[in-house]
Amino acid sequence: MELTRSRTGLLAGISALAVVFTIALTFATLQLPVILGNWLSKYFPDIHPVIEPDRVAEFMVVARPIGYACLAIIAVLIVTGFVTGKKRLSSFGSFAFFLPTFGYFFASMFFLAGLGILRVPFISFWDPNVNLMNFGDISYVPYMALVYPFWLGHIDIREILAWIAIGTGLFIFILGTISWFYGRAQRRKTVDFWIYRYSRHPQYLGFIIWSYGAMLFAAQQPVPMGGSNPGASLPWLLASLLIIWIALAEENKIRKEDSEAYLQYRAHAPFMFRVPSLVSAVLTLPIKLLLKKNRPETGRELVATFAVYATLLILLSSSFVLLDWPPGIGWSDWPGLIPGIPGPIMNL
Amino acid sequence: MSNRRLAGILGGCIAVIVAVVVIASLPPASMEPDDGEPDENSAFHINVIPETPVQTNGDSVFKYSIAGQHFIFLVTITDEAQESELPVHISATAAGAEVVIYYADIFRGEVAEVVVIPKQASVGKTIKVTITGTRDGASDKKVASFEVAEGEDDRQEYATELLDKFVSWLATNHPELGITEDTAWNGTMVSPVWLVVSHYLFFSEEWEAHISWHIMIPPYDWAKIDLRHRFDELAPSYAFEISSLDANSDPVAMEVPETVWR
Repeated sequence: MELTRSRTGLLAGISALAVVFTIALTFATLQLPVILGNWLSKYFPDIHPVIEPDRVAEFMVVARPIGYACLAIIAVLIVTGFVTGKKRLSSFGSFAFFLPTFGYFFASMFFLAGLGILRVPFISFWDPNVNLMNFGDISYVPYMALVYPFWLGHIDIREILAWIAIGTGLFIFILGTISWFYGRAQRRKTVDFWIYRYSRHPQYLGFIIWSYGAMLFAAQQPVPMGGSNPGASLPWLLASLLIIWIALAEENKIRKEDSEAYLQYRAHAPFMFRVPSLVSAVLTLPIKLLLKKNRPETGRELVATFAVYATLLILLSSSFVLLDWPPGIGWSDWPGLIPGIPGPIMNL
Repeated sequence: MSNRRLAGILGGCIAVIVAVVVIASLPPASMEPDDGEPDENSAFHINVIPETPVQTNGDSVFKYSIAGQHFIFLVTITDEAQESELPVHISATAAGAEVVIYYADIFRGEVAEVVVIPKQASVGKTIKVTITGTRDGASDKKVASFEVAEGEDDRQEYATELLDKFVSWLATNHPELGITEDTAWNGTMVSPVWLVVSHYLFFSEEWEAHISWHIMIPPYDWAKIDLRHRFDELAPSYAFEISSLDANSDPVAMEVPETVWR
């Protein structure tokens, strides 16, 4: 009884700590880019791409090779991590691949102005003829499913939804981190308590949800005159797939170590979060068709699984690109104004 | 899994992705007819002004703009079969130009502004603007074109001087318009190929002001302003004239033009 009470108190304390950290980090997620953007705009000033195309062209001559180099470094980090088994390198690479999304938080006419300079690795995807950034637009389906019914009821939850996702992701991440450290301090071989009962990878799950919120917030940013906002769905999609790949690879490593405790734990806790069996069956169908088993177990199988899922999701996203949907200026104003409420009047 | 099978899967995936990207980068095979006629099945029609080009004696006469300046189309809903609770969403595309839309979701009686800003590379070319209204699966499309002349905005300073004269007078004599000396205005040059009478458009949050002036010796050096209330008016509702700038005459009300100037 004493032990239970003590653990309950500890859990409550940790949860309170996680809430405080979540609030602080959510605030930081939304405010740091603004502060940093204002500072960086001294060094990377905004340029009107129509009025001063020559300045843009001049800047791009320098920025383009830097962008390619950054993307190559990120790719090398990710691949090296997988080849050498140092998954932290791959995790860092995935985070670095997503990081430019914060460049969207700083609205500018020229996409590399201010904090937009973070988007330099995205140069390869930012093609005026076919915007590769939109090849992850299938990611917006959950967002659409949540926003649209409210919008029909004249309630706008777009920005709030992004905040909630950012906060929820951070909360899960922090709870996972604290639980993991607590488990290590207790010299447990398998951390299987608290949030780990509901997710085998709460930190990765937290990252995916947090970055989804950041991706939504980035897509919602207004488009200043002469600028564009294609969103950052493809980087989020690929970064999330990479994180899932890393989680699967880690589990395979533990399985090879033949940890009985972990196998028992795996049988009871879901991979990321619990989903209905029908949804699970649909999500894992490509693996079953490809590998004739429920999960990839070798490095080659992991590579094939990642490639097939990435291709399928890009293929599904292509319908958005081919239909040029959403119409108008894109996700930043989808699904449009609330009926009956006049829209914002902007200066020319 | 063998290396060969893995290579096959990766090769297949890359081929699919490349194919999708190539298809997406191709221009659409068939487009809506660009005769400006509305779709037959549309539950509403959109009206776009100004009409450009205009057919005169069998010739197409285009309006002009210059690179970096704003060519502004006004879009409204017409012939609506049945009034809807949903707005019509206005979108537009224009190769060789940037497009900005203000008040993109309109109901009957409201006005959207489609601003087309030609790029420097479009000088000497015709910009084709496709404006689409969509609502609940129905759509209507209009196509307009204008030419991009060589030139730069050399009228802003004088146009601003004239605007200030009118604003100062309006603030005192027509306070009901809500225009004060603190009202912020942004301007764009229009009709660059007109020389004897120069034109300039200014926009505040609420008003579009068209300033025109006659480059002529006194007493024929007049200046005019007409005002359109943005987002709910298609044509000016007020107009005033200074009969001679040299004589420092006060503005007087004049006949309001029937159409906006572009």
